[in-house]
Amino acid sequence: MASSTPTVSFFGHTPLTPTQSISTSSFLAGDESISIIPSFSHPNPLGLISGTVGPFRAGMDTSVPLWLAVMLRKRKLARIIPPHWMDVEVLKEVLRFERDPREANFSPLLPFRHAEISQSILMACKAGGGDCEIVDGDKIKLLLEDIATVRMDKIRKNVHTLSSQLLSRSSRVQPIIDVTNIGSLEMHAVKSFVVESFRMHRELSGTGSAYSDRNVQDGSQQGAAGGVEAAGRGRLRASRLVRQEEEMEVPRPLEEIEAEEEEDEEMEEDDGGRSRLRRHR
Amino acid sequence: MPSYYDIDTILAEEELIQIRPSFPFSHLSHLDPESSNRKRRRVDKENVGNSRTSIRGGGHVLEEGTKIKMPMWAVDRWVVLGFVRVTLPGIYGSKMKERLLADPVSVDLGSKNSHYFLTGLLLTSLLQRASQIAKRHRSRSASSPASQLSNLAQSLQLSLLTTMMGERLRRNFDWTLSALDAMEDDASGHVEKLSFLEKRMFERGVESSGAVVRWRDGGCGRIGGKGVMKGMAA
Repeated sequence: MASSTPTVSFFGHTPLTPTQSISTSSFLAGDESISIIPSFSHPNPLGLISGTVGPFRAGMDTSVPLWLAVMLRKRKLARIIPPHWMDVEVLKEVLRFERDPREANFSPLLPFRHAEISQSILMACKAGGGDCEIVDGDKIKLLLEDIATVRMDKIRKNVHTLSSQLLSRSSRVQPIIDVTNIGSLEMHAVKSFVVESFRMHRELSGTGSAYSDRNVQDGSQQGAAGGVEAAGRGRLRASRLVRQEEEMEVPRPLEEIEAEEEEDEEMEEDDGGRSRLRRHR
Repeated sequence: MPSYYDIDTILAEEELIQIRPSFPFSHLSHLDPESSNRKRRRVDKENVGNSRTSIRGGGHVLEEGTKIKMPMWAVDRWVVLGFVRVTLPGIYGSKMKERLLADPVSVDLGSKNSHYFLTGLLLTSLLQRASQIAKRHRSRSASSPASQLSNLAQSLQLSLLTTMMGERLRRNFDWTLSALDAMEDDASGHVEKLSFLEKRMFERGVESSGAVVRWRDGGCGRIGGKGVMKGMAA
């Protein structure tokens, strides 16, 4: 049931606060498939919006979305079969992998939303009462916390390495940070800061928005063709108090100016009542 | 980032830049605060023994090479067209660069200039534009120091990049991760030394890591439609 690629955000490009993003992530984790052993029977499959689940036969395991499994568990209508990675030995292996200094990446054994899924299952078992089907639930919880701490430390070291080796240098090549197998929660924790850092790096390197002109080293190769266009980018280009840069920089021949003025006068004679301000450039 | 209507950009452009005219500017002697004193001293020397005290004639010109300080937004066009020679403010000078290279974390940019990086970014853009135009007019005006402007812009850009993306970024990131974990650690001492852009990064990082900590402690409630719809409407 490992889900390696995150699903598309339900809210599209709606800007969400970090709290909303994490809530959204928890909501989307509910779509993960999980096995349950129902204590009731229902011969007909249930037609849901996301798909069909069932039929349910008491004592026979079946695969349902996590949200349904949690709901049935809270009502003591089913027992959850924990995913294969929610096991003490597997988590110890993951922790050993994360602590290994030779391993720069994250362990592939955990799914993308492992934190949300594990919390949902543990809370559902606790709320539902009765014998908990999660053996050593407290140990699993502690191991998951240790793994989160070690992974966050690994992220911190990666960002430090990125800062010292790539971000503090001006480069035409965009720096890349490898987040393969990162968890959803870890991504939410560092996303805002890292995204802002990359954006600042682009601005300060001269490859960002309108206020960052290209590095002058490349400007000499562009020559005059790019010079005016690049020079035109700037705050005062939008100002109504300043004329266009081309007009100010390149003096126009007197004949051209006189020809334009004659054209304007002719047009005014035809138009009659139009404003004379057009003559003034 | 910089925008015409952004208040922080407007504040960043208020930074005073020292300039020196490349030729005499008529009727702009009032830009030099010392010009009236100089005129008075000159008239006193000329009129020693005379009863006349009026100041007239030839006193309205801002002489070539006079050092004056003006806001960046006011001299933008002059610098681009090469009418003035620009000197970087002291906070971007060599002494400051040395201090930042030696110990970037301890430098209190918040008190020196809270818009340090934003002003530097705008200044770099200004110098690069001036350099590019100076190159185009190289054959027409031999006095345009295109290469000087270009070198100035590059060194400033590199200094800003090294300062912001180096040790200060790493320390800022560490504080965002630990600001909410250890209640006894007070981040205010760190935040006071940050510039505006660094503070913004810090606040966003703290908001994110804080949201994760709150989720771990209390889970998450129902997703309210009101908050999301409000965000979509905005």
